[in-house]
Amino acid sequence: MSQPDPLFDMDGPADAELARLERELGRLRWHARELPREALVALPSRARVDDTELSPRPSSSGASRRTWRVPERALPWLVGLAAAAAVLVVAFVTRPTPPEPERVPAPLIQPAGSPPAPDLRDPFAGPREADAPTQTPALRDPFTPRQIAKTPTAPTHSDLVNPFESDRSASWPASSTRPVEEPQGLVDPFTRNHNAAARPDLRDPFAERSESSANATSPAADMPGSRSPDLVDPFSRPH
Amino acid sequence: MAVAAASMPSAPTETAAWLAWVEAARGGDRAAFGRLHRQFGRVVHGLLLARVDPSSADDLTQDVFISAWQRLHELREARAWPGWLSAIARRRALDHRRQLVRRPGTLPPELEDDQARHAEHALARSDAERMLTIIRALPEAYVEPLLLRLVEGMSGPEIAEHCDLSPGYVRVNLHRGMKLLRERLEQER
Repeated sequence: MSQPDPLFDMDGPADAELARLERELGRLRWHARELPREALVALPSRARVDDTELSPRPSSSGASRRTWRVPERALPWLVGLAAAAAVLVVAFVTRPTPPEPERVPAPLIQPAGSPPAPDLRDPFAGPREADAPTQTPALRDPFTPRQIAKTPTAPTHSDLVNPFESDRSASWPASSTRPVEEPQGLVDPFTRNHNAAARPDLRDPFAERSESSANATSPAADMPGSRSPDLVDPFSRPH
Repeated sequence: MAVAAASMPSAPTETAAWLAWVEAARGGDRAAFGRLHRQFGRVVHGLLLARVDPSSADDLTQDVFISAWQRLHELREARAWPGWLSAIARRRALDHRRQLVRRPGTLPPELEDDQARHAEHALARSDAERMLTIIRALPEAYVEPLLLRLVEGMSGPEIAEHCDLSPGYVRVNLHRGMKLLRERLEQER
């Protein structure tokens, strides 16, 4: 048989110290008071709410119909979800429209499958072999001298001299067969020198001018009008 | 022997009683909740007395039961009622202390330092409050069982049942706390 434990079981005689503590501290003991009735009026009891929610409700048609109600705890979440969805919809509607992509211009070059119209000509295309004879001399491309030179049969205007012709003329050994008398006295200097060496009977029209212009200090001295005696070259050195 | 048997708490019967009251209270039975209030009022008061001053403990006890009534739907099982109610009481005491600390110029007695505690001893209105102050100074594990036993007059098995504790835990802490309390009281004399 176990010993009586007055402290734990409250069984058996308590010692003087324990009795004194019980007596003194017993004055602080809780005295039951009625709970205020107004505080117990509203009862958000789940049991009662569930009972009322799950009980079948009579409908007009007589058939029992279960009604779905949003739980109170889920209400803030649902409200937040709806607000987020509304914000997304507004952001989608009011989003800035992307700029329209720049329209790619239609290619000016017609595809190879369809032949170009005969009256249309590509101005940037180089002269073709077939077009070379029919090309107008006045519209000669100055940047393609060698291509033009390759067409010896092409008629050239008499008063137009190809400045790039000199390169080729210098390398021509049979240049003497070319016409020496150029119209209007315009002779290719290389041709002139060559002819002067080959044919002494031909006078170099520029020889005299070259000698006279050796002393000239200004390009104006080579001008045709500068031969006038009453004209003084303002750029010439004073003798 | 007969006296001992009569004084033994009829735990199964009492447990079945408050379990039925909890179930009834969850169904909206205010009378059943009133019985729970009377049955567990001592426990709540003792837990509050371990943390707040005696003058505030009575009012806070009412607050705890009102809060429990309003939040009764959160209780999952009726058997968890003692622990659930004890947790509400402890939390309510902490909230009360925080509110007192926030008020400028006021300091609850349970927060005063040792020097103020000695002054409180000198100004103690009764020996009960002086003993209460000494008990509060004991380790926390001893305070609640001692106050429930000495102030509220509950037996060890009742403390274990109403606080959702094991009887062995309550017995050990009661004896160790009582031994330490005797030593402190001897030092006070």
